[in-house]
Amino acid sequence: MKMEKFTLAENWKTLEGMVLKAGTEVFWYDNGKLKSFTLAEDWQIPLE
Amino acid sequence: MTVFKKSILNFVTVLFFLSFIIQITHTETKTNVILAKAGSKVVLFSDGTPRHITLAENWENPNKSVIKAGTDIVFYENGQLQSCILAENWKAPNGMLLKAGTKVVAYKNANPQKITLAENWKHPDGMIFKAGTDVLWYESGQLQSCVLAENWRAQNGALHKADTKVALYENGKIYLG
Repeated sequence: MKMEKFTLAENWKTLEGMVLKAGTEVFWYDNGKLKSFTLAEDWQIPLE
Repeated sequence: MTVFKKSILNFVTVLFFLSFIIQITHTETKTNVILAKAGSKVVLFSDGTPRHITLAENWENPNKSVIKAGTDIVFYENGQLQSCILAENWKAPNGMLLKAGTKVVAYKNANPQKITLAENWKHPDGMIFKAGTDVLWYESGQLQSCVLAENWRAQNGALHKADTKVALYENGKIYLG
């Protein structure tokens, strides 16, 4: 099943380490990558 | 040299190197990591790099400007900063002092699009840009508009008065002022 959008029932920690907030919408690109979301916790983004 | 003096010297040497290492680590941590704020919305590009985030704490950009906590940062897909709010005054490489608390907008090619001056700045053409006002550029780097702090006589002899806005076409020709 290809996901475009769903609403989280509980906080979710992704493989990249960010924690997405319960009750908020998560959007995805066609390639399966996360497009937009709301953070439940601060997230350290490493820059190249 | 006594054993005591040698011990003190060694201690001071170790302290010096430790402080040097801590300084390097500290700088790398501040410039290579951005802390996105809990409760804020994050937008990523399709390759996973950030497009839009809200800062949880001040962030020192690699160019040494400090971006304000609690404000939004927008990036281009190439990683170039598109817009942000300065936490502190910042001196740009050309000598302009940009004002704390104001929005800086840049083009994808890293040329500035809009800044607000913290102090007067003299353009190579002789115009003096007024502190507290916005300066705009075209993507090519050509000046688009500014507000004069002092009277300025253009090359064609026209006198442009202080406190007036000067606007230019991308070819450099003045159409307002």
